Amino acid sequence: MKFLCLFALTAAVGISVVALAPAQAQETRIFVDGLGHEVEIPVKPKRIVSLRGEQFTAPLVEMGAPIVASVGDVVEGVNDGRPVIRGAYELFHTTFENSDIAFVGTTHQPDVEAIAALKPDLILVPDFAAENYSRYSVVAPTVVIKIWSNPARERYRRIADATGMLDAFERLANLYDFRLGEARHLIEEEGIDAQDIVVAVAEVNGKRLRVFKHYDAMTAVLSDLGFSRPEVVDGLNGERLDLSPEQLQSIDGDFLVSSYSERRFSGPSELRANWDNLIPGWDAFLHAPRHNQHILIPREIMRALSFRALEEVLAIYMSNIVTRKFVPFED
Amino acid sequence: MRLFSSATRLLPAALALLFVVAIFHIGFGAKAIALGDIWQAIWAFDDRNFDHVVIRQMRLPRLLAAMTVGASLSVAGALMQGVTRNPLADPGLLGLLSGASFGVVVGAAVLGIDSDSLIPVFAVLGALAAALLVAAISFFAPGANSRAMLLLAGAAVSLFLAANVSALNLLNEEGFASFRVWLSGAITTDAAKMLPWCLPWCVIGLAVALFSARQVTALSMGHKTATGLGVDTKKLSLRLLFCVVSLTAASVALVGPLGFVGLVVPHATRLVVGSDYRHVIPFSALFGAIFLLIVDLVARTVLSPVEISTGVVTSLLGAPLFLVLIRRVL
Repeated sequence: MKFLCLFALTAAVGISVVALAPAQAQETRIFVDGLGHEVEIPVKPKRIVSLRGEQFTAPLVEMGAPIVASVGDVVEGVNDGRPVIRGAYELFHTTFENSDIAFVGTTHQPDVEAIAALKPDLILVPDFAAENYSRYSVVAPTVVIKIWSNPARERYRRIADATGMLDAFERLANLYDFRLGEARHLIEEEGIDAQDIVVAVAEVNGKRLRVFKHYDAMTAVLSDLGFSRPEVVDGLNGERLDLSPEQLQSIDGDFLVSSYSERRFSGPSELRANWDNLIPGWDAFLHAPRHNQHILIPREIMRALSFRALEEVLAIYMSNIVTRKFVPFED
Repeated sequence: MRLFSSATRLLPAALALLFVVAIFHIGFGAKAIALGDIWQAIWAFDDRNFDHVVIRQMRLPRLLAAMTVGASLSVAGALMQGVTRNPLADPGLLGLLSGASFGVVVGAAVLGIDSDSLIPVFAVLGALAAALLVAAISFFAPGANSRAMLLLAGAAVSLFLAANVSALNLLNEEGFASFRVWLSGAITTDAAKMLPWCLPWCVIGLAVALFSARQVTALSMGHKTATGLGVDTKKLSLRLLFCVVSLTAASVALVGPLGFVGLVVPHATRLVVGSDYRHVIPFSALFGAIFLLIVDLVARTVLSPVEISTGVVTSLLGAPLFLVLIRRVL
């Protein structure tokens, strides 16, 4: 009997040690997150939970990071009404159904219990949800990323750094840089001075005329290619400005870029209708739409933080601006 | 206190003020336009000239929308204060703005109604449901029919409906994007699209209000007094309910929920013309139109070239005035 008890005790201790072994064996380091928290995180996390679709999950999927769960959102008319991981769904067609990524609530209401049940070793939290930092940090090492900080590439790099995916990041960055170099070379070959081309990024959304200095891949690639912005946008301190519709002509330039969604309320036809409602005859008063130089870019793809999005937007700009004849804007 | 001994003598001055403010509203904005161009835009409109488009298709619809909504909400507030004998009654505090907003959101965002003509109908249904709910709560709850109970019932219904609107927003954030500015109460150039469908509700509501003004004066002295003066208070209450609902709902359908207009303007009007509703109603309409034209002018120009929402300006101006009223009334 004594022998049996001793055997059982030894076995129990052994099992516990084996069970705890991976966690204890994980090499850790200190990472300073976007809000200045010094967090002890695994050097190579194996079970990452993302609390933002297009800003975290999409780049993690692109880098091939070991992501176990993500938030998702129900978007009318998409994925048969089941939650989708924004950005990852549109760019890579990654869904909760066709991947090992578990659904842990919506962007604005993550389910902490569901996250805890997955035993993550790293949680990525956007700064707008940092008020719940203490709840997440009880579950696992938690890193806050400022999702509207610029430049976007640095933001992406921080995510790669926190998740131990810097190698994959560099590989993807090198590929994009190569394509960007090719594009710049072509611009030079064509004798185009990119700085002479003025491109405005603007949308009418919710009865507002909104112009953008920074709007994810849509503006990042324009900057990468060296195109200019209208003065009113250039002088902006923030990312965007709700401009009076009466000031429409202050955003005039060679090209106008807007984003659309294939979903209800924001498809290309709704986009044009919104412009018409706010500024009747707008397309006759701006050079770009008057000469068919208004470029529409798919919003969900463009908003996903990824090199794939940058490459797709780069291809759109190359075919719509660089490689075709257009009517230059004369101020 | 009454500033003018004869309201009729004030009428030309009020109309002249409205005219001057309207001229300023048309003449000033984020884009500087020469006086000659403004004149030409009105009398010899050329749709290839952007200055003309700014005047005729952007500022003019805003002018009409601001005047319509200012007059409607002010008259609705005046009627509510008269009927309930509660100086703090207004379409916002008694849940009608929230009810109309909820009706529009359900119709457009949930049921997918995209016909402009039906939007005011959904607003009317929402406002009517909210009004009946507030009336039922304040009638059946303990302390029935007290001023405080009416306001509490209005606040509860407003919060409940606002929570529902927020829930709908969370369920479909993308589909809701187009409602966010509207829900903050914003006079925009696309009011032109809704104006033909909302204006009839407002015109009928204002006409009924003017027609009922004498009886409202009697009712404002109490149901017994009104009955003694030969007023059928039940019929009148129903007529005024229709009136208030249609004025509020059409305003909400046009520019979204604009708070404080229906509260502050009738009080200011009473200070000037006294408490006879034959004067309060027409002058509330005039002062409401003037007030909202000024508010919209400020919203368009104060941070030019940026525009701020009209609702933000009405709240900034209305909230302190509301506090002053509370001190005077409670």
